Amino acid sequence: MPQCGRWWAVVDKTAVLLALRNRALTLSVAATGSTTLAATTTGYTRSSGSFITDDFQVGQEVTPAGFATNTVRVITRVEALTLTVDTVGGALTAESAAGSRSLTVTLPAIRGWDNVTVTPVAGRPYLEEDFVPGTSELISIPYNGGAMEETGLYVLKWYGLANKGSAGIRKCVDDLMLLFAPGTSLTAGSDVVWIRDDIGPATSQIVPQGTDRAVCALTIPWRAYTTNLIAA
Amino acid sequence: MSRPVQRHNRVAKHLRTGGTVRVETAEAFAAYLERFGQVLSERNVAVLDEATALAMDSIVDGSPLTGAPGQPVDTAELRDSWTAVPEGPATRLIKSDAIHALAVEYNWGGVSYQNHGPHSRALTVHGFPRILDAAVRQVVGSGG
Repeated sequence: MPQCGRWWAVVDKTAVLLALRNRALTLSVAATGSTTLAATTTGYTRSSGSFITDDFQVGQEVTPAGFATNTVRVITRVEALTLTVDTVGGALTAESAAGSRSLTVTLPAIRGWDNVTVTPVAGRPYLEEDFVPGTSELISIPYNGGAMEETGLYVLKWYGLANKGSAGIRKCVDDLMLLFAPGTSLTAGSDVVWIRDDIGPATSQIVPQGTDRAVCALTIPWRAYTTNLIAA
Repeated sequence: MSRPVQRHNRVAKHLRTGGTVRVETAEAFAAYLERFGQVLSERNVAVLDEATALAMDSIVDGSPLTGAPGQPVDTAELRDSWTAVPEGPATRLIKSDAIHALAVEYNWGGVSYQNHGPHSRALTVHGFPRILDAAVRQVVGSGG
């Protein structure tokens, strides 16, 4: 244990948090890719390909691109050539089929990052993030110049819509978990953060909140190393 | 059945005098193995109990072993709801039946903390290698 008056280098935990967050931001749950799509007053249609094959699920939040109006909506029904969405806030604007359009499911647009309070919107999924430092330990000699190991948790809580079944939320969280496979290493400033492989990431049960929400948590254990430095 | 100590002395004596010791040595060795197994079993239980106690401490009060903050305390209902019960000879179940235990554990939006904090169960689970190491040191160090 360091003695009073001595100092030791610490892992840049802001860099670790940003590395983990940026990894989560790469999530792609379902996507049509750039293709020909049309918009109706209640959803989207296609003449080729399949929304089912593309892994869209009820309850997921879909982001359109390439349309005149690209408002994020929640999927209410999935068929091969038709994707029906909510009309909260008004019906969609019908648009005839055109190319270079896409529909994607990624992280919810409403996000509460660590120490930032999120304001939920009724009928819309949202995400909360917790960065939880855990332990710190000198794992090699000498004291000055030896390796320091820090561990902690990165917790993402996916708040989906209640009473929409489990497939939508579960697909999103499971795909998010795949981004943090045990042994994954991420650059975090001048350090490297590793996803632990002794006790790997895990998801929780989908728990109804008693409101219009159901939440599923993904807990990601990490470890990072730095060099212990003792001031003279 | 002869006591291992007596057989050990006989073995030592036979080694000094050069007498035939094969049968007695094997019996003494078997007795030592039996005693070794007993000690191992006793230590397994002791380590299990010690690790359970350390894990409970981590979840309920917080622990430097795991970095867990412990259960927030207002009325103490949540803190006092945590129990450790045996589920079998080699299993201990640590649980809480408090209705708000999940919300505190996962820090669901809207939960505020006057003290301690969330994620104690998860930090305890992920810090369990350190708990186990401390438990083994405690048991072996005491000669148990």
